Amino acid sequence: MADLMTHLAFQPDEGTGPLELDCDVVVVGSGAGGAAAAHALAVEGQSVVVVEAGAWRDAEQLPADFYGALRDVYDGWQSGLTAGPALWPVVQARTVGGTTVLNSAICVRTPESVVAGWAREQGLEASVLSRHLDRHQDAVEGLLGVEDTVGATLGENDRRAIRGALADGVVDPPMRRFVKDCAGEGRCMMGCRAGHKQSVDRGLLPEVLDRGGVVLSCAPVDRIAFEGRRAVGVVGRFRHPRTRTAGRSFRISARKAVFVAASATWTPLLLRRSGVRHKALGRGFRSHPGAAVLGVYDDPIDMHRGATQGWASLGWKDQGFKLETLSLPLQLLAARLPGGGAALTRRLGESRHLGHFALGLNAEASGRVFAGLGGRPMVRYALTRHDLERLRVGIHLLARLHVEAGARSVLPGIAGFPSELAADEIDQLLTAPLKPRRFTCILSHLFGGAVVGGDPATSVCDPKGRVRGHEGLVVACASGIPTTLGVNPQLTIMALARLRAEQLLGGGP
Amino acid sequence: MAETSLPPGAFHGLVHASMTPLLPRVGELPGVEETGLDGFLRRVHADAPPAVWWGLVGAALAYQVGPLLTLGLPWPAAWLGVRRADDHADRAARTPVYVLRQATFLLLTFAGLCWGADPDVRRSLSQDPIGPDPDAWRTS
Repeated sequence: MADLMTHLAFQPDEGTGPLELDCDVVVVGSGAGGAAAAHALAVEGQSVVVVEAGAWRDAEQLPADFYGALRDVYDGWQSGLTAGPALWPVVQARTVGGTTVLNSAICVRTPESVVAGWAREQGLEASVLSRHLDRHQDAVEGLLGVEDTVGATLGENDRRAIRGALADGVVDPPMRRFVKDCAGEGRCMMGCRAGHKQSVDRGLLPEVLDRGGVVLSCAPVDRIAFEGRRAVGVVGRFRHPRTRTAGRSFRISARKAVFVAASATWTPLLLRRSGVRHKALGRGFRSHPGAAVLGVYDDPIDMHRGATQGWASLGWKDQGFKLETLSLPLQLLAARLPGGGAALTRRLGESRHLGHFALGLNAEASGRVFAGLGGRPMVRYALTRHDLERLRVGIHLLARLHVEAGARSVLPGIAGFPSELAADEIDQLLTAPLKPRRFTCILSHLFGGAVVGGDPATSVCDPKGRVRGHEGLVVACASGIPTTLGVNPQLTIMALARLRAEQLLGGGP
Repeated sequence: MAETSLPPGAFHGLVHASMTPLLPRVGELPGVEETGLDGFLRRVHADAPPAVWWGLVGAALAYQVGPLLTLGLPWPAAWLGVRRADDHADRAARTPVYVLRQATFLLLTFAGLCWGADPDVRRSLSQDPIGPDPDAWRTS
């Protein structure tokens, strides 16, 4: 092992040959799964190298606006799309810390019903799996720190949503988030420049370095190296984060295991181009498609004040969705509002009076990840009719909450449908056409593609996350998660990754 | 906003001409053309992966031939008078023709990034100005 306790960023190719490092475990990806696994392994005394395709930005280096966020932090300028009946953005980050840098830091425990389903399929006792996951979720909460979203952190957008839900008889506990002293600056989607968000690049990776681990940034992995069936490391080449120029190559050798935690879209592609063959690889992709409704209020809402997502509700989870607020930056509103031209500019002039409520659909649809243009991931994904029906019901519910919160009209964002509905017209939404292209959705909670399961025919990984047919190769990101969760997934992803680390060292169920 | 030295070319003009009518000036509120659109597009051209830039160019092409679908007029959007250009902008963003609607969405997304960063626009909507672009990362 090279004597390095450090972070290595882009290195130009100066003809000196590849950078070579040895370690116990190399972890591909530094998001929720990768960082959590690396941290757990480092704490147990393992030498760890984390390899991340994106750059590492400290809080003050995070972009000032959404343009900078697209350039610096979103994967491929947010060009990931679903292929299928509709082109919906597949949102994820490419940076040290992964999507935890860009999300709203929401902390929700894995639902018991989900754990029970996994345990049943994997031939485990639900209570055993649940106990281990709880233990790791406790640990993550302790490491990152969790705060209730209350008081001045809430914006008017959140307060209106709370009021709307209350009118519907739903009272939710405060949203729990991985933050410290959040000032409600409304810029979670661009990264927290104030450093309040406890993303894993701030909360976990520094300790990995302190314990002798190494983080390579700007270092996309080309492939996993094998000796026979055993994964023994990874190879790749640094890439400049702005010019995209290829730099020095690297070769990381791992004595014990290669952990792949590159996300639900990139992990299946990396495994495939490394020679892993399984008929379920790339399949079983799942998501919580998000849709939203804008409300038009008489009083200013000023979405830019308060937490980006300061309220969420599972009060309607039995209908298949979670609801939440989502404050949009001014720079994104032009694309979200209906129409174009002078009418759009006029509408933007009234944007202080807009509130934005969103839903995440616990969709039953399953898709497939494949390599698209330039080897980048694409997802073939189409909601089922049942999903679309529930999506429509959810959009109607969002509109109702706006009305109950005092909105005079709503902008549902359904193409070919009235772009604005007065408060007494929102029931028309229940007749909106069930065509995916009519809806404006994004996919931000991504699962599957290299799923864990008990059935060798349908799961790429065994119940310990080990890729079938290989040794020393473990999936430790959302790619291994075989179902949707119905809640924000980052805590689950981190807990499962820690569990995979523990299992590698002989513990866990 | 930092600009690059890339000279504006024909494709730059095409994207510019397609974004301008999507967010025109209304009263005191500036249109996107007045918010440094030229410099912004040079910046996008320099910063973005080719697929993103050429996606914008493709979207602009679709927008320019779009009047055939939105207004039944067989000439480019850039040749339309102010009123028809405004009609086309609104209809292209709502059209049932998915390709044109998505193309307009892409143009609007980038036009919005430019417009929404403008200090005058932000001041008029009670938003703080955007600070300097750090454009930095850890190098060690």
